[in-house]
Amino acid sequence: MQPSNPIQLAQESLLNAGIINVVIIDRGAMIQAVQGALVADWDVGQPVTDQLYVLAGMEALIMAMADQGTAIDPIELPAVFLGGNHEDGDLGVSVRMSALDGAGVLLLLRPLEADGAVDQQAVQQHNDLALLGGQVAKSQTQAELNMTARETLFDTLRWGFRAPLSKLAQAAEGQEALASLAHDALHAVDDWLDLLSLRTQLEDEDGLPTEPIALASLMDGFRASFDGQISASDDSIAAASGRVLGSAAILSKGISSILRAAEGSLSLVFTVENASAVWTIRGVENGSALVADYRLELARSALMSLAGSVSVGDDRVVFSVPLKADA
Amino acid sequence: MANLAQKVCIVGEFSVGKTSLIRRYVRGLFSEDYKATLGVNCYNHAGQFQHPTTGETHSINLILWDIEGGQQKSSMLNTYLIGASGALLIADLTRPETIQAVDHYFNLLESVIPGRPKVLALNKVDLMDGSPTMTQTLAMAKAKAKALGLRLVQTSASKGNQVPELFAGLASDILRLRD
Repeated sequence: MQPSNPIQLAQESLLNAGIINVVIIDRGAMIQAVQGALVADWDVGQPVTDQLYVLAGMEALIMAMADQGTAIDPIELPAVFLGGNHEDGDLGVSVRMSALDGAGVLLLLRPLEADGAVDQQAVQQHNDLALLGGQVAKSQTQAELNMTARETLFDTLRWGFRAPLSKLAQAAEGQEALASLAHDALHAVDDWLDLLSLRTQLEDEDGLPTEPIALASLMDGFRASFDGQISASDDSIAAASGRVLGSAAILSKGISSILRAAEGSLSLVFTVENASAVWTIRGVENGSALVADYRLELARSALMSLAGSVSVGDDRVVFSVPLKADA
Repeated sequence: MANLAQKVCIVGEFSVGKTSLIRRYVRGLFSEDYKATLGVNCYNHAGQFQHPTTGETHSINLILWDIEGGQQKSSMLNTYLIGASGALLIADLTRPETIQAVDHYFNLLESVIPGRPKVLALNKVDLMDGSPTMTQTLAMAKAKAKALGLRLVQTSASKGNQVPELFAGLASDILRLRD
């Protein structure tokens, strides 16, 4: 048999399924009538806030709606989780409150069901992205601050130390001891400026030592620079070929600074020990003096850029850089 | 006699710890996972609160509105704030921008519930590492509270620091205003 009123049948179907739920309240926020599965056990004559405490505090608005009718705009609460939140699996509802001309206030409650979960995921993704964006912005700001600090350091070294030292060195011409001191200090400043500049270059290229250092060329460079002053041995260089990563210029700066500072009949020996590339300067006679020499700190700073280290023994200085694991 | 029901809104930028503070207060729970709030989580929490002047104890049902963070829905926020007896503004020690955003929420509160008690909470103080950045952020929060005439409470939802005091303080302010 065809229903006499299909619309009425549809309404009843929605109400019985709890898809829509209707509550009529009076100006005193007392329940006057209910229909719908979600509100079926709400008692007529009781304060609506006993059932829907989210309306607590809205009593004045309810009264105004009941008295002034449609002059007051409806209130929409699109997602309300009572007694907890979506994490707890609590039921989420949307609440719409509007004037029912001359007959109080109409509350329309609808469960959120699956739509609510989708909306929550959208909010979650938006917030997660915004948090990540904030972290990136913070890192950029920090990087800019680091850059500023580095530029300030360069400026201080150039203008605060180097320029006055140059003047001192010039003024000390003829006073051998003083001129020598001034020139030594100038060399120190220049060495640090060189190293800082090389490290800056490395950091600007992401700071990751990924390029293999051409070890044979490096050793050739030492032979050429210190021709006649040192003997260089690199028999085990093949074992480390392609496995020392980083900046050849920084490594060269570190080792050269000690070759210049060390005294004695020096030899430079390359070996592979404990998964590290090792350069040993042997025959060092002024080891104890090196400890107080700025060039040792310079070498340490250089090797640290390559995750390596420098140690000073009785007659030797050892430089060590970890080898990249075999592929 | 039924308890007095008082609506309290908790507002602030997303991920500052609004939900965590409420869950710590109401349920004594804390989770490291961040779950964004959709719309409003509403809690009905009965408590005993002392009147700040008379010293009498009052039973109050705090109707806590944990409101979705972020400024993208300020028109909706106006609706959420209707009928609130007081509000907590929450900021995050690790994100200075959340302190700057307090102005936005304060102005909304003043437009919808002018003169109602409000307290500023600086959350996540357990993460204070003494770094210049965080020290500066703390100073910023103190300055903000002073400029807006708010009491500042330094909280940690994670450890529970000052969480009961935060809610009890606001409840007392609400009781005082009812006189």
